[in-house]
Amino acid sequence: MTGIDESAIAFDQVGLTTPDGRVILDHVHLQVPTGSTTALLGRSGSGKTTLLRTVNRLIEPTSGRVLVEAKPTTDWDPIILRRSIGYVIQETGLFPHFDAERNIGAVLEIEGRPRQEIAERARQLFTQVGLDYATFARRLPYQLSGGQRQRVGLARALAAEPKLLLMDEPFGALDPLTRAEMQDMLRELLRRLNKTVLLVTHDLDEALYLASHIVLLDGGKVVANLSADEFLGSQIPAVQSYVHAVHRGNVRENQCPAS
Amino acid sequence: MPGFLAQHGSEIAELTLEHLWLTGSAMLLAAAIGVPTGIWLTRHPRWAKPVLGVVNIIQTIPSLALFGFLLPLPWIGDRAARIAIAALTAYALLPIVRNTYAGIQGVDPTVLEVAKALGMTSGQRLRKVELPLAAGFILAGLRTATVLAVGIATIAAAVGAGGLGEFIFRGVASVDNRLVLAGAIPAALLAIAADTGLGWIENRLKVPAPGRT
Repeated sequence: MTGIDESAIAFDQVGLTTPDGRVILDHVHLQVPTGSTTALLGRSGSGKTTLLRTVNRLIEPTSGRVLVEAKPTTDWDPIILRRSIGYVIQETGLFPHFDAERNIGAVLEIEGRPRQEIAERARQLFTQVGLDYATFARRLPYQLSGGQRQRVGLARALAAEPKLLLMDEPFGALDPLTRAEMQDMLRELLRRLNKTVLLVTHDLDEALYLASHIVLLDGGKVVANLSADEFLGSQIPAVQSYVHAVHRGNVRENQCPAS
Repeated sequence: MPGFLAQHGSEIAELTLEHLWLTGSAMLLAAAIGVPTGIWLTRHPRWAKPVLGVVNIIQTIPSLALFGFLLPLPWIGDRAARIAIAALTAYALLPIVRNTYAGIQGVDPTVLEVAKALGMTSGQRLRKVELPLAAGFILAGLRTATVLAVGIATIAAAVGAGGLGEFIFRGVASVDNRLVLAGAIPAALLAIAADTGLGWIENRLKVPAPGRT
């Protein structure tokens, strides 16, 4: 296990309690190793999205601290912190009044990079996410399909070459076939780009396919933190019940598991 | 009728220009006050209710009375045109402030959160996201305010500020419908032109929302 200092992201006893006393995050202690893809898995309301959002300070924890590159997020200038982290959410995240190219170049634009540089980078990214520049550059988000929008969203997150990517149910709104395509593309991209990724999902297969580590959250607590290879075979009851709940079809076929 | 136009044509043109000047300056002033106020309210939402309440009350003051209230004020009361512009500005504030506030409040919170997450400063969020997305709404407010001001400006003639109301008041006093119409028709045309023109711009500024799949 890597220590807090070498991790790309470290959660140090992170807690979040709402003003009316509801516990959203409960002493989350977790390291995300540099270069890994870590999936935060859990049912709705388990705190996985909230945990993700403490990393770029969209949410501030009420106790404990979050470290990004070994520096507490509260010591970072939030604007600089956010610009150095790629962020992808479900399809609604594109700016509806920016065309695809401007959406992709948004982070570079707000950093005040020269036009020429932004245009070149955008062209590269169109290719990387498998979109034809000439066809799609001038389209507004409403003129794109769900999968195309998500490609644009991913390209936008990669534009400033962040070392860290936060992805919140990035493919949640897509149909299964488009979703599989996007997962393939992302896996291929991640293999080449060497990013640290924190991925929120409730989809076990997605977590197994994309992640090297899987963290299971329940009621704001980490109930399991395993490598993807160990996950299905884990004896931790919470993991077993999650796996069984998701893989009902398979359970029916293997009613008597081999001992 | 041709005789009437020959006799009053140049006066109609002159008063139309004066009318335009009064409403035009009032609208510029109202936009210069109203849009920043609306933006400020989105940053300090607990002030929204009281401020919108005040501009709402201004609008319920009968226009003739408002012109009268402004008469004794220093500087503003010195010239009729100042009174007219101040009153028209006050009336135009409600639609402009309200629509600016509501337009920005209505921007999809997900989009705003992404803007924040990408590292936009609060000024960049305003300039690049909130204002462009609220532009159609803000313009709709300007449009309502302009049409309103063109109509109310006819009453400015009562305090001697000129404009097309001159004809209407003279026509009413001398029971001459032609004079009333010489004021009313150009005023109506101005209102229609402003409505159509601003409506056209408003439509061009609307951003289609992404369809859900």
